[in-house]
Amino acid sequence: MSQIILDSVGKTFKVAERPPGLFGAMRGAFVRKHREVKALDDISFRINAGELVGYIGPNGAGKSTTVKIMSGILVPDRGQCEIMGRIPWRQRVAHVAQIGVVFGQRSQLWWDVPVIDSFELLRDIYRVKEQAYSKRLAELIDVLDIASLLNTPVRQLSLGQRMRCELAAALIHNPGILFLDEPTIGLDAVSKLALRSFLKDMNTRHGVTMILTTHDMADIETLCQRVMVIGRGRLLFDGHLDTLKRQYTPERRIRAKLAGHCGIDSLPGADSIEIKDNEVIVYFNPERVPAQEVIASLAAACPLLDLVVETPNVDEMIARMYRELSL
Amino acid sequence: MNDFMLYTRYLRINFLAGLQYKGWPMQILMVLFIVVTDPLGVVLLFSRFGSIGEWSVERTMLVYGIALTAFGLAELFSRGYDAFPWQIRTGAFDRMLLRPRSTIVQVLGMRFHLHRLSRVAGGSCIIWWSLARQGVSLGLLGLVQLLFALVGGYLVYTGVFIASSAVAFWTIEALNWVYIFTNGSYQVTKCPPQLLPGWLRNSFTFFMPMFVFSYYPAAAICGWGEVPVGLGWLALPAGAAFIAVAFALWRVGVRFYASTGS
Amino acid sequence: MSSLRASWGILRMQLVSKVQYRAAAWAGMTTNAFWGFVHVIIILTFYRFGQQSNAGTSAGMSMVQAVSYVWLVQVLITLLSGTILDNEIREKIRSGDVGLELCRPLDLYAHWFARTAATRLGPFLLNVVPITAVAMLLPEPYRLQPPASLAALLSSMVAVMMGLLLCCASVGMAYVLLMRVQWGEGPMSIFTVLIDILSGAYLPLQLWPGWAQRFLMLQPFAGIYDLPLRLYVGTLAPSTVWQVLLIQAGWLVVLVAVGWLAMRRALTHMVIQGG
Repeated sequence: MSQIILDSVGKTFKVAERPPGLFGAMRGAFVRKHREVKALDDISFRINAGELVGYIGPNGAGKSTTVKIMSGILVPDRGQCEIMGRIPWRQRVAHVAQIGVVFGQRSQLWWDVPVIDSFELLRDIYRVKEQAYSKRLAELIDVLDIASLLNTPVRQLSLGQRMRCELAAALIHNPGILFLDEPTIGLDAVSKLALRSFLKDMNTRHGVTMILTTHDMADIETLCQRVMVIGRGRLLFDGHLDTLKRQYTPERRIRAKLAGHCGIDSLPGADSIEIKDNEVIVYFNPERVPAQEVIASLAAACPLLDLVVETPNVDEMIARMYRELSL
Repeated sequence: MNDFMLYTRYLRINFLAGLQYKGWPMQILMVLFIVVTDPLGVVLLFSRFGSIGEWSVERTMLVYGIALTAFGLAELFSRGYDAFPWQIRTGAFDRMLLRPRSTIVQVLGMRFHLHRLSRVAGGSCIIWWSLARQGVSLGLLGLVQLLFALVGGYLVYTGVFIASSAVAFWTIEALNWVYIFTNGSYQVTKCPPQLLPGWLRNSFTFFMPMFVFSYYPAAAICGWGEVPVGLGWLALPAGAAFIAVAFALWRVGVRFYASTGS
Repeated sequence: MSSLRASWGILRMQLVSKVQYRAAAWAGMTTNAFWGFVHVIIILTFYRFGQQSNAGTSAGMSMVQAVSYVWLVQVLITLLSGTILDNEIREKIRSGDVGLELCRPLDLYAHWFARTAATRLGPFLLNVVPITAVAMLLPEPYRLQPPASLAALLSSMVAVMMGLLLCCASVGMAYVLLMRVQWGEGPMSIFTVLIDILSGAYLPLQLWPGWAQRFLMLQPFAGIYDLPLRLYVGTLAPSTVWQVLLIQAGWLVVLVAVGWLAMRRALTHMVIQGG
């Protein structure tokens, strides 16, 4: 039985259009045009308890609309959504007691008071029993290393410190599902690593189901086995990250340093070749021509000093995928 | 923990947050200054022109003081709804929907500033002063009537805040309107109600029952004999009816929000 | 110069956004009109039913003049109110970004002065015709009368322009107070309300007690609403416009000088504090 079920969910918004400029504004004061925007067209997926799913797509693709529907904030126009056996917007209170949500760009902590005061208020909001609360809090303080921050007002925390406290706040009521909306945005490298390892740990040891939207592909690579790609309100891919990579980055490249002059402008087995100063880059597809052959013909054509075979990184892959799907 | 207790916890955290700002004693003085100077114009008019028939400055100030105090109470304890329209675009309401509690308690608890106490204090002083100057001793019945008037008024003004918050789900463009029913409404009490144009008096009696919780109880308590004494007890039911309508509007607004998002 | 160009941009943007958000503009005007109407009723009540109903006329202001005065305050409120502060400047001060403004090659005081004037002109230009029209079309005795004479109109217009400068200089002082981030907000609000009271926005200064008249006439804020409006309604003859302008200019020089110096002090204070 899946924990999260979405079945042909659709959502359309009406957007008012305002013509630009002073003249346009005057015209807009009398007639106003509306445009229908399909935020979600037909989204279906299932997620089992304990999964950690990456949910990616370009800006405006419908990621946050999906998250809002799953968390009970927004009611879809069509389709079904069932989470832990409940319909989020029908049984809002019971539903949200079981989930946690972290927005990277917004805080759920009270800005002007020490962190611990926010935690205590959240305890009261979620009706967490005192004993369970102190046990849980001690655990989170330990894992997130926030003991020294508890008495500091939130506005004085750095972004990295604040995000750790946000995570604790979202988990204080021990939710079974955690929605993370760009949790690593703006964080420095150290904070990102710490956050990822925490999420991984929460997922594997405590079995918290997580859905992670992000633009940072390193988040996806280190955390998620399963990836869902959304574009223009449709689910374009749902599967293993490796499958996605094979599908969109079949191509490899050889980057080699030259020992001397090399005057070729094509190479047998290679898709293309670029020569710049004393460096040559060769693109090829290993599923058609094995690396061995390409390297051999390159070595035969040019004097080589050093050589690496690279996979385009995930960012490039995603950019290419968005381009190919013309998103 | 029940909703009321939770509300007090919200007040507590906002109170603590307010203390973090070092200028808070100055803020208290600021609101007190605004409260004290607001009736300055009409007091100066009384001193230049004298009373208007039966209506002395004390009498006018009693009606004004009740309306002002009720408004102050709403600002103090329902400030969250007052500020809500300007929060909605920031996604604040999303966060409330994500918490397993009544959204009403959460909005009510969103804001609380101690310096809003100044208006209640200032208004109470005005009431006390005008009763003393008129030589009215309250008695238990009068005190109860006065309290009912203030609670009824508190409900009405909170209702205005709630209704404007509900409208904010659709649009926040035209929300300046609401000033007519908040800070604007008690300006009307600076004039004897009988001398107001009929439509204005009726709007603030039947649509937004401001005179029902200010003028009627004041007349009943002091025995001015201008309106039936029984009307002095209408403040609480009128307030309850008004806030009920506001809540109904709020519910519709929440449903609309859930179908459109922010 | 760049301050002026920036101000022109601000003014244009204000016009566009105000026209675009037509509902907000209408709501603002309705509120203004309501406020004006209520004040007119209050002042009328005293003139008609007060025990000493000739107390106004004996102070040199007739009922008709008082009613016009009250309406004109509403017409001019977006231009001359002391309590309207620019949100962008507020936010800059609150966040400590004023420090960054110092890197720009312009005088911060002049820049804010021009900005304040520009942000007031936009709403005013859009409001002035509808509100004036509504106020003039009302039945007697509620209506706003035309100016006492053409000379009265012209002299009051010149004085209103000076009033705007005086108002910007006064609001500049409020910003300086706000720059004391630790505690400035309360005193700043008190100061702006004081500007409104003493400039005659609450009650024409002529209707204040007789013993205070000399002081009221000569304090810095009378030149914002009260003196220009006296010229319009005719309680001051158009020929006295030179005296009015002299009072306004004198206070303008004083307020600008004090504001400019105080801003410099506040800025160094902020820099030392680390913003």
